[in-house]
Amino acid sequence: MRFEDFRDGETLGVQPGRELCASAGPGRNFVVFPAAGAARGTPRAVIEWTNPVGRWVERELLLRDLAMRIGVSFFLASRALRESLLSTGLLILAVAVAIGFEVPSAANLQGYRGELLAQSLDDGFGDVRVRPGRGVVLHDAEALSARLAKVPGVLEATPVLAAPASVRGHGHDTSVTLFGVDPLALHHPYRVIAGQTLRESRDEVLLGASIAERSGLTVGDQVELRVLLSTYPRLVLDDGGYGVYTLTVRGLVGFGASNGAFVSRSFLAGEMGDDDLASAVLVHVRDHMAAPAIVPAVAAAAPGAQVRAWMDDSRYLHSSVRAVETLAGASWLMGVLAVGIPVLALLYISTLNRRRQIGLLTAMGFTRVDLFVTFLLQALILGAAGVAVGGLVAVALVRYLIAHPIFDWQSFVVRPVLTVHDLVRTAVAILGTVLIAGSYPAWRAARLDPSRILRGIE
Amino acid sequence: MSGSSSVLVASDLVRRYDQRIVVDRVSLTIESGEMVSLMGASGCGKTTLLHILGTLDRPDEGRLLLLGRDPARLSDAARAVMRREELGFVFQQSNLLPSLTARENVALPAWRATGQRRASLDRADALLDRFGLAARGDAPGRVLSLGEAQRVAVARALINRPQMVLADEPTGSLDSEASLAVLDAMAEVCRTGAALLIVTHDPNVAARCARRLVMRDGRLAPGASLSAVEDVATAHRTVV
Repeated sequence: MRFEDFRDGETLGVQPGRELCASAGPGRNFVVFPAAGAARGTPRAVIEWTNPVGRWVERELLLRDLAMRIGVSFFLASRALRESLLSTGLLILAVAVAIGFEVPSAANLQGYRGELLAQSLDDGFGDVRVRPGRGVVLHDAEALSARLAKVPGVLEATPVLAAPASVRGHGHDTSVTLFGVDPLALHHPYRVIAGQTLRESRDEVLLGASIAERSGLTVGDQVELRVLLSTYPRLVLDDGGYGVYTLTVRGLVGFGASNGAFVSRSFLAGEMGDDDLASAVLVHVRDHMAAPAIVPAVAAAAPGAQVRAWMDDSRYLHSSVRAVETLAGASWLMGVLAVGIPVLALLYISTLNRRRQIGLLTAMGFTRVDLFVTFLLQALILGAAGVAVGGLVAVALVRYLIAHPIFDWQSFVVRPVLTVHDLVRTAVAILGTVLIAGSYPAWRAARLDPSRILRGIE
Repeated sequence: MSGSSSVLVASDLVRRYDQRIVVDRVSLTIESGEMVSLMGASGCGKTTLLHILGTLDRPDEGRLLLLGRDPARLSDAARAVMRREELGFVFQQSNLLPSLTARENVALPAWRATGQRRASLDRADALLDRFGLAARGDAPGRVLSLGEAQRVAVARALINRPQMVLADEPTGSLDSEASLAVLDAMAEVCRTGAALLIVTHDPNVAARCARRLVMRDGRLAPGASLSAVEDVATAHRTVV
């Protein structure tokens, strides 16, 4: 229907591709505009409207045209995929395999990284370590810890006191580092894997699981602990420089603490002659990776002390974490390539195989945009199906790996960590890769010369 | 000059491929409802001319007026609209989208043009019924016989009530019985008021056309007669 054919009061006439004519009401309320691709040199649009209804009609017509075009393209795309079930199946499988393995792999690495940080920092030696600037001990450790705890961002600051010692049990002597810790603190430099945690007591010790295993000791056993007390300046030197104590093993601790022993700091410090001694104050923050940012504030609250974030203090841990992150990135990139390359290759082959159909569609009046959208929708359908199947596989695998961890030693258990955010992010990334990989074949399809195709030249 | 009923006016069309002139100063006028055949030996430029007239290709020189408009002055999208709504095409073979049924193949251009799928399918059913293919409507394109596929292609060419149908050897790969059925279907084209241009090697097909054109070495032979047509057909048979 053309403008000059349009009679007032006629119902909405939608002729996508021609002039779109509509009556928005009696009188002169017309909306007339050419569809995309109107003749050059002719008026791009003749729009007469006198009220907002006209604008509404215009928008409705455009939306209807767009929805129709997408509908036809979707129909053609879905039918084309059904035409070659093997290719379609392989493409969906490629996407599904990529996401089905990438997600659990990333979740495992995330779980490993999280456990490593938790064991080494939360249940280890904190995010920021404060040590004496001179000498080997901090005096007034309680007061220093209290000041540090007030630094914004600090969750807790706990003093620890370390001394060389040996453990004798069942006739075996084993050298250990003995730590005096605050049993009532929220964070301890160990994780109990058997027995119970430490109490404020002079008679009990937590023993590293490796030492216990080597010495044949277990919870409830009695051990003889020889502590070199002369490491620190002392008031009374009547014990030959070391103390000997018979203690009961209250619990076993694992991973980073498996070669140590732990007693109450007040007990150990008292034996050294100063109840408030500490070798270090361990500062815990909420975000491990933000530890360096808090160092200046901690240093200001501990003048003269040496203050270091865990990244600088434990190069091995830092390197391990970075290695895991690099592996996760490489795994993600491999997943993306594993999706992108086969999708690009198979869709490109599909485009070549369907050149004749592209020529026919062009002869039928399908535009380049129609062809591009049709081929892109193919990629989108494949991607969505692959992501759906792969997502289900991934969730099932993650659940299996949570029940059957790939690494379980003492208290160090790697359980995959998968959040909805991670899953959605990976799905969107894979879908985006599919769309990008599908864009080139779609672009090629849209640019083919119909005349050459129909004559069999291309 | 374009008359009031001229569907197509071509003046001095030239098309070159790699410096070789394939269409050489062709001028042609086709009126509404006219049935025109175009014959010529293989490689003489018939299909290229057909594609130019159908806006699938562009002339290097000359001017074409299709329904009063010059396709060269239109955008790609506008030429697509012209093909969709004013023109219909039938090719020699592989005319159908194999993954679509016969009725979907016929309905597709109308669905794209109007956005109304249901109505397009109904109209496709009516056309298939007219061409004796009502029972084959749900058959996929790939399982239809060549004759059936060509008649489906004719039905598809007509679904948007085009002003002109361009057919490139529509009976070229058919036996005589199937050819007859397709020719009957083609005759329907002109009864709808549309012009029809058929590229053919078959003198029987040309004989059914009111006007017969012959092409030699990219040029339209002046004053071509039926005997000239037969000469061309004989030459073609010899080559084939």
